[in-house]
Amino acid sequence: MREAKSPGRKDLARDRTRVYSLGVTNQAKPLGGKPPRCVLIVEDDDDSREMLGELVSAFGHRAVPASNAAEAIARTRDQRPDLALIDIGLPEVDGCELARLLRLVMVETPGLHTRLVALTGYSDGAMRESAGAAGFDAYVVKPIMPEALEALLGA
Amino acid sequence: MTVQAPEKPDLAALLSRLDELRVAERRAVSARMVSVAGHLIGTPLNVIAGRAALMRTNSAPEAIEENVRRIEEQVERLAQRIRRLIDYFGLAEPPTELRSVGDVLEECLSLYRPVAELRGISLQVDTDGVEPLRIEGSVAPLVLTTLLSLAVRTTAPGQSISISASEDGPKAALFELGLPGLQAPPTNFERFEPPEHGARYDVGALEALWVCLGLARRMGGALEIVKAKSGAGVTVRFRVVAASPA
Repeated sequence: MREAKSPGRKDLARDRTRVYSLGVTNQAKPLGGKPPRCVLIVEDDDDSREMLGELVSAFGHRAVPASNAAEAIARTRDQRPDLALIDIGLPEVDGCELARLLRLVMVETPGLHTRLVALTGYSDGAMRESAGAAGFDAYVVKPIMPEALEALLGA
Repeated sequence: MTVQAPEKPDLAALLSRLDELRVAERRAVSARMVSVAGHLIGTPLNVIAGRAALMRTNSAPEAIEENVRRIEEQVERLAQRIRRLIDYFGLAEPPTELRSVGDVLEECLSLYRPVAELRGISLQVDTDGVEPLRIEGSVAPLVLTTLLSLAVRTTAPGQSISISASEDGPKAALFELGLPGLQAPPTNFERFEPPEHGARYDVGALEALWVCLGLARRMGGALEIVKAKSGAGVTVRFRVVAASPA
């Protein structure tokens, strides 16, 4: 059996900034340095959604909350977010299915280019694969830290 | 048209299939429960981490006070969820009648002997003098059959599994199973922790050992896994409270 070294403090600190790019070919707009951005936060847990919204606001961006897929699609249409942070484990329509639907919304809405980022508690390769297949541009392992958010927002 | 009578089912093959289903069921249930528990606990922890991060980004006293309050809320939420998980799923089964060690062991062996034979594995059983001892008759067989199932799954054809039962002091019976094909579990196994991230150990084996360890402790017994004294594999020692015959 191969024993792996447990992560030390330095490893954990480095992990906070880790944003996994999925290399999906899409029409996502680059996020280089034009704040404030509009960030859609799709999360069914009220406390998590509120906390993420405050974190986004703390960086001077505008947070748009949605607690489910239907709200997320509606907010995407009327708010045209630059970035969508989507919890994978949404009830009913899950995060991967929502990403597919949002890609369709983008196809039918001229000029709408929202970068889709999966928020997940899973850190294994299978999740990375399924997030990529669903159309996410990147995924972040929870908890999302300011450093990761900064990287995503191009701040 | 003539209808052919169905072939007589092969008992060993059926028992083997039943064992596969039992293992798959346990795997599915535990995977689901771990996922649910992880989500229940992980969500408040993520919020706490986020609130702590917010405190780093905004050191205004009122912002810190508000974030501390929200962290305390999440800690209470977390503690409540953990209490409910433990209270609900930790309920003990009512005690069952006592049965002789010999009867219990023979019943368990009779379920796995055909499966072992089917796979070309021999069982070496030694129960001399222990039969009259009486033990709890419901959970102990569950531990024994789970261990036998694991033993049969991890032993190569041509090898043998040793099973012994003996008196361990005046109030205990000790079952020892030699599993020649099983690696010793990770060192943190005693704390019910999975192996360190990236370490490889058969999840089905670890799960079976976890289940047995948990059940053994819940019934006031013990489970110990040591490297085999001779040859490859491990010896699993399952100690269970026993009563002498009335």
